[in-house]
Amino acid sequence: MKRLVFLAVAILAPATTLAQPRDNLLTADRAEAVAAGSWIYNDLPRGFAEAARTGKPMLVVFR
Amino acid sequence: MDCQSFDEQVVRRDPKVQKLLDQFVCVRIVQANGMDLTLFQFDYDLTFAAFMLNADRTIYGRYASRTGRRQASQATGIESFGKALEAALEIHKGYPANKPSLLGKQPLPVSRKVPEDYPSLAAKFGRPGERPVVGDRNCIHCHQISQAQKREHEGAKRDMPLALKLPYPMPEVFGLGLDPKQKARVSRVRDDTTAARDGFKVGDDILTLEGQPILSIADIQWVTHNAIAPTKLKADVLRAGKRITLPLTLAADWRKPPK
Repeated sequence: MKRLVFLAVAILAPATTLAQPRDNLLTADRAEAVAAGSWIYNDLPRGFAEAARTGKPMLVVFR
Repeated sequence: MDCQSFDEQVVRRDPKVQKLLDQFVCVRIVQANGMDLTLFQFDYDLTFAAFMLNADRTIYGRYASRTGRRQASQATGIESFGKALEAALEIHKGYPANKPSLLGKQPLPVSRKVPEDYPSLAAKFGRPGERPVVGDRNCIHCHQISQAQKREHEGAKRDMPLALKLPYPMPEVFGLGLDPKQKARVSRVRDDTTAARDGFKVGDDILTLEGQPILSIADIQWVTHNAIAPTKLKADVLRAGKRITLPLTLAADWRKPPK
């Protein structure tokens, strides 16, 4: 049983480690974008509605 | 400057562009799930891409370019980004009277409306809204769209179009080096290239290409990428304060990098 648990950890750990940086990046990115204010995050319909309401042009950044 | 540093400057609203950004509704998209491919057409292998557009979906201009991390400084920088934003604001002021000049900037018809329409992506990520996008595993990255496009051709055993193999080449391929701090100013003309033969000179500002106002290097790439080669495009250029017209010749194999 211990060997099985060890094996599972050995297999899954690298995958978790690999996924972590992108997840962390996205979380940090979102926090930064929201903290900076004036960025609508991952919500294009809201951006279009806001641009129509204010008469401003839109800047859409893909990252 | 690499793409990540540049992106940080943008998201943190660098003082050099803050006042300009204040005049836009700024939207940041970090996942391609459900992305509207009928509107947002660009080199999906990019690490940073920006669109300036009207609320009615009319595109004013694009910013970014196909460069690797190491060459990002060749095409992006906060100065040229600011100049592209200024130019987009000018277009916005003149809109909709100037709408005819923007016609060529608009997206082209596509067979796939969202990334999940590609079978390889649908199999992995489901239809839009089918699975919650939580974390990396369910998040479609832009580069996966270009992979899916290529896979589709490979799967059908069709010849892959050159535009898919070599999308959005930098103007360097036809001999034009452009100043990364300007919208589209020629900083180098390579000898014995079509750009040299067409008469381009260092210091030329490319104002329009095929009648489309040029806001950035990415705007030039949009025109050339979608041109049907061989062809001769028409460029309006500002040289020493005078507006002149030059041809820009694209040979049939123009996309191939120079030897």
